[in-house]
Amino acid sequence: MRLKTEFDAPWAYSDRILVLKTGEWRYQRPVVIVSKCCQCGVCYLFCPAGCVSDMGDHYEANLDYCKGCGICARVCPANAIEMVREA
Amino acid sequence: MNIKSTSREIKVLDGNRAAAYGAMLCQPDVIAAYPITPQSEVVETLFSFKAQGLLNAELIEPESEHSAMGILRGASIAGGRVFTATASQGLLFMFENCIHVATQRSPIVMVNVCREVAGPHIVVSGHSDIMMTKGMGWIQLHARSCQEILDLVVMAYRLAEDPQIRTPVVVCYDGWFLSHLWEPVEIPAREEVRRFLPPLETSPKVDPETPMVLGPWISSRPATEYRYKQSAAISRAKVKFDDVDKEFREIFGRGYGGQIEEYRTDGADIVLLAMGSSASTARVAIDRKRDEGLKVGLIRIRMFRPFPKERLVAALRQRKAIGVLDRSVSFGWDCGDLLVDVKAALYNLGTNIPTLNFICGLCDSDITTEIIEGAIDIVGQAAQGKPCEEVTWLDLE
Amino acid sequence: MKPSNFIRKIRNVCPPDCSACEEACAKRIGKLGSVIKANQVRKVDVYKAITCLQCREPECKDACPSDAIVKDEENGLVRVIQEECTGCESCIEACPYGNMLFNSDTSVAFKCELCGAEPECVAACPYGALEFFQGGNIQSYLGDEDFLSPGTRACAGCPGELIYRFTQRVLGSNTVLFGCPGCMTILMTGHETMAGSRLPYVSCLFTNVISTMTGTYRYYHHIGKEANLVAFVGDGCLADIEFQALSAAAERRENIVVICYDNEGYQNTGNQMSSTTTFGAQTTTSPVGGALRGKDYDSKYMPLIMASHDVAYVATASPAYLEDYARKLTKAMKIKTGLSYIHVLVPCPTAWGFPTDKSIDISRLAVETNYFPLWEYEQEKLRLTHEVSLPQTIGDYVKLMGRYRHLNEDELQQLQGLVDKRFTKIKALASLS
Repeated sequence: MRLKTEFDAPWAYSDRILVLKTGEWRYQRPVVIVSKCCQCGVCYLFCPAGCVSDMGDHYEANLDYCKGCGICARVCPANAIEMVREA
Repeated sequence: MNIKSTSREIKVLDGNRAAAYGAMLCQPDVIAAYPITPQSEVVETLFSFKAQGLLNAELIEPESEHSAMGILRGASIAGGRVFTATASQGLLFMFENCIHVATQRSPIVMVNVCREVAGPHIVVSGHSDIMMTKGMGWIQLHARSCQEILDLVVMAYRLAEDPQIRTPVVVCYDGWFLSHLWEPVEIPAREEVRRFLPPLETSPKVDPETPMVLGPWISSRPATEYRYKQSAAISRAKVKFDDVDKEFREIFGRGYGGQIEEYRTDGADIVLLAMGSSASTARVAIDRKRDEGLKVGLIRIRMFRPFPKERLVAALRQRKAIGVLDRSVSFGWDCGDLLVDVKAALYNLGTNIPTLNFICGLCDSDITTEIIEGAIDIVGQAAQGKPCEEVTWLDLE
Repeated sequence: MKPSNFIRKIRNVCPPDCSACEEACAKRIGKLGSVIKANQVRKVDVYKAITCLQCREPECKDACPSDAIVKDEENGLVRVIQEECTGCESCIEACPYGNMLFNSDTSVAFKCELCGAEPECVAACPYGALEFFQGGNIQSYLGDEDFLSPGTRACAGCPGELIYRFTQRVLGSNTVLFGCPGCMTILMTGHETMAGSRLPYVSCLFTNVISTMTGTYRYYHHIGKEANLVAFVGDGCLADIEFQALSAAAERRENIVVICYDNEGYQNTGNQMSSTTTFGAQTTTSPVGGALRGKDYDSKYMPLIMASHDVAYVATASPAYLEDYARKLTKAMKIKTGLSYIHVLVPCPTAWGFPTDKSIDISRLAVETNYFPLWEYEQEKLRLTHEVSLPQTIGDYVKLMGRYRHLNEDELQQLQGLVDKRFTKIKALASLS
C-alpha cells in the first residue's frame, strides 16, 4: 500500500494557495473607457475578487478571475466602466 | 502542601486527588475542565495547586465540557500539553470534540471518572459512559487503585506524545469506588517525571511563522488515508504501552504488566476477566477459591482501546473456561461490551472455549467477593462441560 | 497605488427645491460662483462624482500652457494657481467630465478644490446626500499583500468576500484565522493540499470555533507569544449553535477577535433561517405560500447582546463603509483586555435576491434606514459612528430585494416599527454615554 498524504492529519502548506479561474463563470465583463478613467481606485477598493489592478493610465480587472458582478461599474464615479455581455 | 523535586513522598489520597497530582507532575500548559460529579475534586485540586504556586498552567473553567475539549484542541494544535477531566454526561457532551481531536492526532490526556449515563437520572458508578464512547478513537486505560491512577496519567502522556502514536488517551477509574477511595499513594519526584517524559514537540502546528491550514477540503482518497493512519497508530499503542510500562518500572519502581495484568493465572483452568476496581475485589475471591483448590486466575484488562487482542489470546488459549465481568450492557447484543470484544478476539483460535458473561455492578451495585465467587462457580461448571447460561445478570439474581 | 479623494453623491434623497450645496459652495468660493450645481446633483446616480475627480494624471494640467494647474502629490488635490491662469480655456476643453469651470468675469478657470479637505457642500446638505470619499484613508489601513486567493468560490458580487479579503489585508501576517462551515469556509479552507489564503487557518466544527481559539490564545499567552487570533464566522454559527461558547468566552475576557459576517441565514447550505433573519424575510425554513408569509418574528440583535456582556469592544460594520470597518478592526486588534466582537452585515445577492452589482447599495441602505446602525461600544460607552440625517424608510430597503417581495403594507409597517424600536434603544444607550 502506497500512502500519498504527507502528514498524519489534514494539514496543508499555506503558501500553496488554490486559485480557480473564476473568470470562466461570468456572463458579462467590465470594459474600461480608458479616456474616462481618472485612476481614483474606487473599483480596486470595492472589487470583491480583488482582481483590479493599476495599469498606469487606467485601472482594469483581471479577466482570469473577474466574475462579472458589476460592482466596479456601479461604484465608478466617472462612468468609466461599462458591463458588456460576453458572447 | 509541598511537592518535592528530587524525592518521592507518600500521601493518603483519593482517586480524584491522585489524578490531579499525576496531571500536575506532568506540567500541562493549558487545563480546561468543567465540574461534574464525581470528578469535581480533580478540578478543584488543580485550581488549588495553581493557587499555591505548584502548577504553572493556564487554568480555565469553561461553560461546558464541549468547550473544555475545544479549548484543549486549540492549545494542543498550537503545541501545548493539555489536560482535562470529566464523567458521564460531560463525556457525552464533549463527544464530537473528542472524535475531532483524535482525528487530528492531538496527544491529549484526560481522566474519565466512570459514571452511569442518564437515564435513569441517577448519579452513580458504572461503565456505560466509557463504553458508549469507546469508538471515539482514544486510547482507553483503566485503573484499579489510586496509585495506578496517578501512574497511568503520567504514562498516558508518555504514550500519547510518542511520535509513533500521537493519539489522545483517556484514563478511566470507577466513580466513587475509586474516585472517593482514600489510599496511600507514592507521589514521584518532579525530577523523575521530567526524566520519564520528554518535552512535547509538535509539528506541524498552528503558528504564523509556519503558516499552515488545518483541515482543507479533501477528497475520499486522502480522507481514507487519514483514517487508515489513525487506525494504524492506535493499534501501535498496544506494544508501545507494554514498553512504556517497562520504562516506568525502571524509573519509578512500579509496573503493572502493560496491556493486561495477570493474577495467579499460572496453571489456571478457569480465568476471570475484569476491568477497573472490580478486579481488586476479584483478587480476594480468586485467593479464596485457590485456597479451596480451584485452579482459577484473573486477567485484568488495563488497555481496553486498542483492544489487547494478541496478549489476551495468548493468555487465554489453554484455558478450559472464561468468565467475563461486565459493568455495562451492549444494547442489541444481549450481553456486556467486554464480552463482544473478547469473543471477537478468540474467534480465530477456533477452539470454542466456553466464555460466559456476568453483567454486574451496574448503576452503583456493589460487586462483592461473594458475587464474584458465585460467578467463578458457574464458570467452573462450564469448565466441566456442563451447559450454562451464556449471560447472567448477577445483580438481578 | 494611491486612491483619490473626491466628492460623490451617496444618497438619492434630494428634494426638488433644495440647493443647499450650491449655496454653501458659492458662499465659500465667493465671486467665482459655485462648482456644484444642485440640478446636476439631483440628476446623477449614487456613487457618481459631483465635482472634480482630482485625477491622478489630470488632462487639465497637461493642457495648460502656463503651468497654472498643479497636482499636490501629498493629498492628491488638483489646484488652479489663479495668478498664473491666462484664461485660455484649454483646461475646460481638456477635462473629460466638464468639471473645470470658467468665470468669464475674471477670466480664470476654477474648480472644486475640496475647501481644504472639509467640503462645505457635504456639510451643508441637510440630507447627507453627498460624501467626501477619501480612498487614501481606506488604503492606509491595508498592507501590501493580498493574502487571499484571487480566484475563490464566493458568489459573484459577494460582500463577504470583499470583507474577508479586506480583513486579511488589515490584519497582516502575524495572524491565525479560525473558521467553520459556512459561506466563507469555501474561501478559507483550501482544497486537498492547497490553502485558501497565505495566512494560517484552522478549520473548526460549527460548534468549536470559539473554544478552539480560546485554547490557542491561552497557550500563546502561556508561552508569551503574541498574534492576532481572528474568527471569521457567520451568524448561523455565532448567533445560534455557538452562542453559548461565545457568551462564555466573552465573560471570561478571552483576548480574541470575533468577526461575525451576518448574511441573515444559513446561506452556504441554501438559505435556511437563522436567529438574525429579519421579520418577514423569505427563507427555505420560513417560506412564503398560502399558509405562511416568511419569518413571523423579529430577529435577535447580536451586537447589543454582545455589548451587554460588557466585552472589551463591540462594533457594527458594513461593506459600504470600509474606512469605518478598517478603523474598528484595527481597534479590535489592539485590544488586550478581552474579547472584541465586530458584527458585519453582509447582504447576500444569491439568497436575498438582488442583482450582484447592488451589494454595496444594499449594504449602504441598511445603514441609511437605521435598520443596521453603525456604532461601537467600549468601556461601557456606546457611540454611533455614523449618524444618518433623515433616514430613509425600510420600504426603500426592502423593495430592492426578492426575499421581501411578498410583504404587504401591514407587514412593512410592522418591520418599520421593529427597526424604529431597535434604533431608539441604540440612540438611548448612546445618549447615556
